[in-house]
Amino acid sequence: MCSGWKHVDKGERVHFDYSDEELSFRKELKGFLDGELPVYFEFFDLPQQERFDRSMEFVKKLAARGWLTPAWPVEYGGSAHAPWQQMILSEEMIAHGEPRTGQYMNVNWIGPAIILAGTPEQKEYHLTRISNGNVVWCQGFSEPDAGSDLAALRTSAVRDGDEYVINGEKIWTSNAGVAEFCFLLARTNSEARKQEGISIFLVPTATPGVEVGDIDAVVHPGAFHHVVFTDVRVPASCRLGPENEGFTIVRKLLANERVGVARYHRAAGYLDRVAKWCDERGLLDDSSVIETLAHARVACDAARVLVYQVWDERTRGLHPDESAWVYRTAAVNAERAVSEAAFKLMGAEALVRHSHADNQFEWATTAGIAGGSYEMQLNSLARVLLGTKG
Amino acid sequence: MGPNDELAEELRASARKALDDRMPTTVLRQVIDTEDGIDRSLYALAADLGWLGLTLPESVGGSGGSWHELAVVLEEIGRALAPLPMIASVVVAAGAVMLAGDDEQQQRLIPGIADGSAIATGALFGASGRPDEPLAARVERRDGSLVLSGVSGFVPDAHVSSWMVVAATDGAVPTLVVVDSSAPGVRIERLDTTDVTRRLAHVHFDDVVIPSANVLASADAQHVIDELVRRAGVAIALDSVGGLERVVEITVAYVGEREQFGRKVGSFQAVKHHCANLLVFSETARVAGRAAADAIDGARWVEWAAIAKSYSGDTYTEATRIAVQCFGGVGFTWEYDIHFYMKRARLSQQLFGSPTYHRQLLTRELRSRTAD
Amino acid sequence: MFEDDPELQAFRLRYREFLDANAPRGWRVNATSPDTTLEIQRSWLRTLVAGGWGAAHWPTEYGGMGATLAQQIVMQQENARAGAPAVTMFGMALVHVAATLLEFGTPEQRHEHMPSILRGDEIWCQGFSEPGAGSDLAALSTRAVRDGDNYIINGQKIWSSGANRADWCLLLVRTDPIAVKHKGITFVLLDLHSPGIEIRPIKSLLGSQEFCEVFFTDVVVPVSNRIGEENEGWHICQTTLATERGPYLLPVVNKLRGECAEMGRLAEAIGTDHAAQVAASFHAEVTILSELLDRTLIKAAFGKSGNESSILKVYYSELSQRLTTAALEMVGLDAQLSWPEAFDLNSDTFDGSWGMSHYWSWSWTIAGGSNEIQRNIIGERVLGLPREPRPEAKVR
Repeated sequence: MCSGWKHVDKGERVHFDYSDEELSFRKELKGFLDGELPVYFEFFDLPQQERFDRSMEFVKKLAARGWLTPAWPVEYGGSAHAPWQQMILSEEMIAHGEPRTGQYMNVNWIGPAIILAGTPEQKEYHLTRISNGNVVWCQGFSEPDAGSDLAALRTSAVRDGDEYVINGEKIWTSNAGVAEFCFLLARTNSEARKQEGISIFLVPTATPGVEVGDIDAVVHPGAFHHVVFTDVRVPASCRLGPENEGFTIVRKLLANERVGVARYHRAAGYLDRVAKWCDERGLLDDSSVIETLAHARVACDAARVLVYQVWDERTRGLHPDESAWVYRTAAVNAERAVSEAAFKLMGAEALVRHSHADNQFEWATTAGIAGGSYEMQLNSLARVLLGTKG
Repeated sequence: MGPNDELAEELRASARKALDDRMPTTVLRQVIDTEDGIDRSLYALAADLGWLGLTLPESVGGSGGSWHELAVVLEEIGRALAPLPMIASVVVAAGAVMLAGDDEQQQRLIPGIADGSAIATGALFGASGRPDEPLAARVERRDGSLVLSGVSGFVPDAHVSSWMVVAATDGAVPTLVVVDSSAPGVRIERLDTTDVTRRLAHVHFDDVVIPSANVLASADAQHVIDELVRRAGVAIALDSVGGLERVVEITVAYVGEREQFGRKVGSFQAVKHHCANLLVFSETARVAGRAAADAIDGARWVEWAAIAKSYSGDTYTEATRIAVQCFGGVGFTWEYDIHFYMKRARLSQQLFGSPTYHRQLLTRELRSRTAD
Repeated sequence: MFEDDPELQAFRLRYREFLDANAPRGWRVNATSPDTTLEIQRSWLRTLVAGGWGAAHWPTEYGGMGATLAQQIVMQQENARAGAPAVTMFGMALVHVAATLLEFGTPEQRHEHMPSILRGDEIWCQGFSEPGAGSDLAALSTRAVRDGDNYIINGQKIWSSGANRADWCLLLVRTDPIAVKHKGITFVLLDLHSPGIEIRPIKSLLGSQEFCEVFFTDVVVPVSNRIGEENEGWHICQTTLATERGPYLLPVVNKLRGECAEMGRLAEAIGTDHAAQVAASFHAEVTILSELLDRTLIKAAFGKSGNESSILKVYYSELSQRLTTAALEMVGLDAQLSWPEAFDLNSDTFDGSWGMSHYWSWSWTIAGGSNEIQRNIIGERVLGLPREPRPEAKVR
């Protein structure tokens, strides 16, 4: 039994299988999740506040079992589980509606950022809280004029003695309403080239001058926020890493992240429901229905195999730039294919607000925009392939 | 091009002005928050401007115009996302009575539609609102009267209707009856649809007594239903044509303004090519919609109706998907208008038969032609 | 969708009568090579001209019919109906050359060429693209240097369709190497029988020899063969290229219709819902394309010619690719067998080879300004989007 990608023919061909140990881990995890949570769609459909409350309660239990930060080093509250267990965890979490809600972010990259660049005090304070499942973070990245072009951000942090004074506005900040801390990117040098004057701050959102407002988003009102910083004073000890090195740290982390949540797994799960819906109505005799379902299923599985490849390369210490970009575009394609299949097959029933199809449509729409637009991902991939800059 | 088109262009200019004045999206946003979600004063204006009676005969209060002109009005309504129950009332309900009703019924029911004093709709399908599923409403004779029971799904504008044409089975065959929306036993279950510019409802019938004068005495009700699906489908296609045109405009305007990486995002080839694709969709869908409107009652009507409905459904949805992509994050906000188009496109794609259904009709039509 | 008015209907019947009496039958059997096809087409062109049906779109003073666009469309429809040979090998002469001469040529140039084109005595090709000037046509570098009453030409052209059988060439040359690139280009008519010309056919992906490379070594062209003024060639060639997207497209659409009908038969034979859906969606799109073309042509006739040509090009070329792709899937392995030698790919009828149609469809998405360039044109000239910034000058 092998784990992950097994290389045959000197790396020419790959074969994937989970080990017995990993399979039993999945089984145990599933049993736990089934006992703790309603099925995916119901969890996802809970009202915002209830979803948040249940998540807080659930994450603590997850942490107690060592399943919140299993991939972190033991010294920082991890359990040094094999990386493939983290993949299984990621799939099962989303199959149950991502019950960690915002805390998956803490686990996947805010914690690792602090491990990478934090002072002993920062590590001591933040990592314990994160690995215990006690804290919600939000990320202060995008701004009205800095979306795809993140480095164009204008929020400023000006040094004043032992403090920084922060002014500016962030948008698309998920969970800002409930977060205790904000992982903030701000400009500390307005003279430098735009990527070189940025620093990271770990800002307590209770600091005077931080104001959170809702963005009236197309669906799920209350899920996105904008955050305004007016003369917010934070001690210099809130800065993560050296001044003006923020972008370098973020880039290093993103190179490691980029896999995000296992959306393909959720999409495939939803597709199963669409197929069931069709089956119940006797539509599976129609070859065009089968074709549509199969097309979407292939898109999900393609994304799955691609993310396994990224994961495999990463566990072998490679920097899987190329496969990461391929995966990300494939994941968007999978989301879209499932959404299209739902509309095509379910007709007007898909158009009732907050129906599952409507939710899937939202996932598919954001998939190509949030976290770097689909076009930018293709550009990044092209840059890797063509070896060009710009 | 000819005098016909000059007339149409005049009509377009006046319709656009009326809708720009009365239904900018700032007003639309208020209307959709009202309980009924339609603008009755705008509907009255539509009547005054002659839109409602455009294709109805003069003998029943219409002006006897053609679909060539109605097409213009429907395009402009789609462009403005105007929440007007015109397709339900004029194209479907009045269409049904004109096709299947007798003189008395036409004289009694149509003038109110033409002058806007009444709004009507058609409940033509089964529970899932699809033309290819069996009807779920039926009529029976009980104690000498005709009684309607069952359900019609996804009926447009039922909540504001004063009457509706209902397709129900009578034994093994379909029949069409006119039902007073406030009659005892009629229950209108409003639906919360994603497209907030139009309202749908499930209509439940619980032993509704149908006066004999309200039976539309067509020999072949299925034939009439099929024709109404075609007409409503083409009307939706024209609504989509107008919407597509506006989607191109607002998307191009946005990417021509928005700057990232020190450039207008519209100067990036990836974005520019998205916009070019939008225009190709818009131009081809327009040709299909207008050709269908011009083909009504002609030899190629059945073919064009199926083409226009299926093609516009697919292109409008795909175009709005691309457009939201071009808007990026703000495309996902309630504040920008593009999402209204995206959702209207989605509903339009499914109402009165999906693209798949209309392609089946097209196949059937082509087959019957080969057989001839 | 034209409903014939009585006058047009009468015209249609007259032409139908002519075709019934004169159109060759069974000619396909004899069209076994480019040379025999050429002779069939030449003979048919002469018959058409003799019967008063030649060069429909030319003005009557040059021996054409002065036909309206509606009449031209009718003639196309009737040609397809009668299975008459299309005069594709004379297409460049009848369409591009005529359009260019009529708008920019001198009376002498028109009188020298137009009558012999009508007689079927002159075959033309186009010398625009170069190895270093494809999508970026204005980067062309074939040089013409003035020497008294002549230009001396050196350089190379590529992708000249049918140059190996042509007598004359519409040629773009650089006369001012210093000016901004599109301002130093001149348009000349080149006699391909002049000394110093070498023509090498390129074997295309179909295995056929559609395109040629043409090499010029000190080729002499009299200044009297220049079209328009020196360095004004760029503007003139835009007119020549635009003709490719007007009535010239009618045969392309006819061919797509034929393919679509064949696909309908395939879908019936396969008998699945999926196949029926696919065939119906292509029928819808080809019908829309045909209508779009008709309506675009009508607009042009009313002097409202817009920027539809790029839209048309993007649409029909990709439709052709998508349609033939779907057909290959329907046909299965049979479509993978080799096809007869391709020699009249511009024909207006589907010749039964999906493979050939499929691979040839790339000539539509690449040639005549690639679809990427067309989308830039749509974005910038039609929609008014900002241009891509020019790459900054290299600092050494």
